[in-house]
Amino acid sequence: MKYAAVYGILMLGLIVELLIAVDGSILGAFAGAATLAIASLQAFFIFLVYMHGRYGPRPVAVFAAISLLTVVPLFIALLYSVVMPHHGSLP
Amino acid sequence: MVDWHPLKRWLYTTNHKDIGILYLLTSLYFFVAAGLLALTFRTQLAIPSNTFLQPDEYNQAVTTHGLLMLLWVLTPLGAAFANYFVPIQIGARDMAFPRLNALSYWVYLASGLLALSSFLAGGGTADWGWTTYAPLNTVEFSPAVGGSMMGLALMLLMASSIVSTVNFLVTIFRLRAPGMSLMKLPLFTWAWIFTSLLMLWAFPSFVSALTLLISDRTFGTVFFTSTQGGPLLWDHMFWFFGHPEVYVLLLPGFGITGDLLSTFSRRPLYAKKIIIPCLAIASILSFTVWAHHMFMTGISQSLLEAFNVTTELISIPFAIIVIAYILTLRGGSIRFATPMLFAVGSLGLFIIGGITGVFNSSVALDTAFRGTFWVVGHFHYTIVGGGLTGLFGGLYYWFPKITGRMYSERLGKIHFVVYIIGFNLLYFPMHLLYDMPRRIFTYDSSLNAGFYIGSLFVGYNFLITIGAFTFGISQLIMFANLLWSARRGPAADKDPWGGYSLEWGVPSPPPEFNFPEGVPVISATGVTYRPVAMADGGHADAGYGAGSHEEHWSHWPIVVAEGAGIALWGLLMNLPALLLGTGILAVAFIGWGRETLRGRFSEPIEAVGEKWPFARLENVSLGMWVFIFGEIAFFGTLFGAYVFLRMNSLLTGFVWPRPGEVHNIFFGGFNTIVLLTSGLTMVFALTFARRGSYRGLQGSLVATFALGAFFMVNKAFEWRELFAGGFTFSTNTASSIYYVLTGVHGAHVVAGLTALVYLMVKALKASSTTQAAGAVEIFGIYWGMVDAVWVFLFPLLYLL
Repeated sequence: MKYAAVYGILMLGLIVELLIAVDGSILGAFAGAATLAIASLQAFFIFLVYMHGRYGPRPVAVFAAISLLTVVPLFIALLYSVVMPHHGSLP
Repeated sequence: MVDWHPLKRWLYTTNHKDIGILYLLTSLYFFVAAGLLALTFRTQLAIPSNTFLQPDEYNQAVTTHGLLMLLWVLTPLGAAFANYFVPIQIGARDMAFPRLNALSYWVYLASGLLALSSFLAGGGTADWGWTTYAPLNTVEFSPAVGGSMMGLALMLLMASSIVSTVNFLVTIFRLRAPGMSLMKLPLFTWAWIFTSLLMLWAFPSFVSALTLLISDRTFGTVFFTSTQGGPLLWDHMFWFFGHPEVYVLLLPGFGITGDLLSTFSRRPLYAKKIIIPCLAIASILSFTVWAHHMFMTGISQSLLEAFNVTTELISIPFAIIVIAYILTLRGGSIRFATPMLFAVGSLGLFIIGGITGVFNSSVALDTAFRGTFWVVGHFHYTIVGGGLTGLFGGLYYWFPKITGRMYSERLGKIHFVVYIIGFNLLYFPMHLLYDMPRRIFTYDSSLNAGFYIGSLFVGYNFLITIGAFTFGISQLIMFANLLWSARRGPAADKDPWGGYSLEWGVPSPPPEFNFPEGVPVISATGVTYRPVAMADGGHADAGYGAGSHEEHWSHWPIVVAEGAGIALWGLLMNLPALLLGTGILAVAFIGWGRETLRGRFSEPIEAVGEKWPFARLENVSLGMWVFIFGEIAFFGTLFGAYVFLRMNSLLTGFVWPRPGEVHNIFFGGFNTIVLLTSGLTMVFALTFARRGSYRGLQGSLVATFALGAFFMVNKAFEWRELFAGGFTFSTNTASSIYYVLTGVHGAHVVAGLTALVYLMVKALKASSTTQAAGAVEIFGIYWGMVDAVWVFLFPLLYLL
């Protein structure tokens, strides 16, 4: 039952994503963020239920969280490298 | 009649000690190869305007020296000791996955041979420096096919390392002897835990970067040739791997040094409870310092300041460890046997490397030092001084245990003296060449800095070359000593040093399953050996589960490695070779599966022991989770590359395709439904397996396979349509990242489908569905990861 429920949530998320893609004007600049938030929720549910992350021991979840956190600095640096003005090469 | 038995033993063995010896010999072989290359280019640099090497030859020698030493020598040398001693130190009989252990080794060897064979490919091997900087790594500047071959060799090596990492983490966390709590582990095993974690999270980043590079060089994508990607993208992806890699190289030797200082000063390691958190903090911080290699690349000022601070921070845990090491010696009854000499030498050299590293963390000083021989001097003091010297200490320390014979102490000490003299002659003058560029194949006399002895001018470069040859000769002393002693040395006791870890409680060399007196039980009063209750409710004695040696042989690991090596060589050189390699791989995977299904491979039985914090997971499911954690880093880095390209397009004037402009979002949405539905049928398969519904299990697995295959067919159809519409690999960065992301994900789906076939056969042969439930659950974890990745790929590629 819970598997079917999660499947329903995944499909619902997909439909909302498609609706936002077709006409996301109501969300304005937040349309992209909303889509990614839905994707994150979908992945979270897959981890919790389909991959049994919730039913495994807590260290699995901690380990998974650390794995995710590992790449966060890279994302920040990559974004900063692009978004912040370049100062150019030093002499 | 030739007796092939000994040869077959070494080819088919899965025993951790045999694998350790194979790693040791192979890494020393690559050490000699990389060392000879170093002597070659140091000869070139000995005097100004030398013509001993041509520029291309020099570049190839330097590149291959760096890559071999870092990736095929230092890391595997640590792995050699880890393979041999970590299972013994934790009280286990073997690694958690012995065949995967053998696979790691053979793939490592295949990758090394592929790397060396790239010299023979037309035009020579990679010539872009070990950092493989873009755009030097692109076809425009490095057209030789040998460069691509080196790239593939590196990918193969990374695969080997990641498999090895999974194996070690499961082994250490799940196979510890009764009473062997984590805090009781020797420092070397602790260092190897952190080394494994660093490899797990850092190496996938390099695999991502290499995927983009090979894609550029082979399929014509434009990641590093476009203005949206280019050098900065490579730098970030490479150094995100590259700096943690420094600690991968350092920590094993550093851990050995700690154990040696303790053993030879006959005192417990000072503040071990602080050293271990310091290793953890340094490991975490190592993921936040990589851009100090990029101070001169033009990245934003905010980043420079942040990385300046994190780099200075990382020196703190290492300073604490160094102080703890020194305090371990205080009041000790010190014996300066050869291992101890190398331990003390390693500590001293690392201090010099660490201090010069603090100089480099400063943006201002780095501006002056970047790209000069100062940096070369610094990192050799750190990696060779702190890492390799410690590992050589370990080699002498464990030689009696591995061979059952003592080495010549006199020759060992001579080796140490010549080693230290050669080392400092070689690397110290590099600091004095702080204004000489490092990436040049020759120089004129104006750069020939040096000093006078009377009227005789001695150039620093000449001195460095003398040091290089001295350093090289010192290794000959070691090889002569160890080779002679292995055959003729006096017999070694089981504990010649008074060591405290478990390997010193077993005979030298240890028997096949390590503990002939029974299962070690560790308590506050020491180690006792006794029969221990097994997981199946039975009891174990000294000979439990040993069986004959051949029961633990498997020829499939070497066949898989052989197939992979031939296939990758063929991918670049020869279509029949590609087909042959692929065929061998297919046969090997089928053979491996059949061997498992028919129970022809028997793994050593492990006693019930310490499994915290993963007591509730089986070995295989923990292994799958660890693999998934590496996959998070792999896909995370690729997503990072996507974000970088996407954001950079705003600055460079490239208009990223709008949603629906190139891709049909409804077709993509339909395919998403197909894949997510396969995720549902997969969890149904597990439910049916647990409930004992044979028909439900088979039906669900078939449905999962059909949906997965349908997803791939749709994907192939979509690719064909896109190609027909002119959206090819090389159209722009949007097309390049689309094909790489969907291609890599598709490869994971295909791998999953292959595993599903195995699962279906297993379910057919299983006497009950619950027997297959474990395998179904483990595959479900993987398939869930494939789904989870796609739920991000779909919006990123189709909707945004």
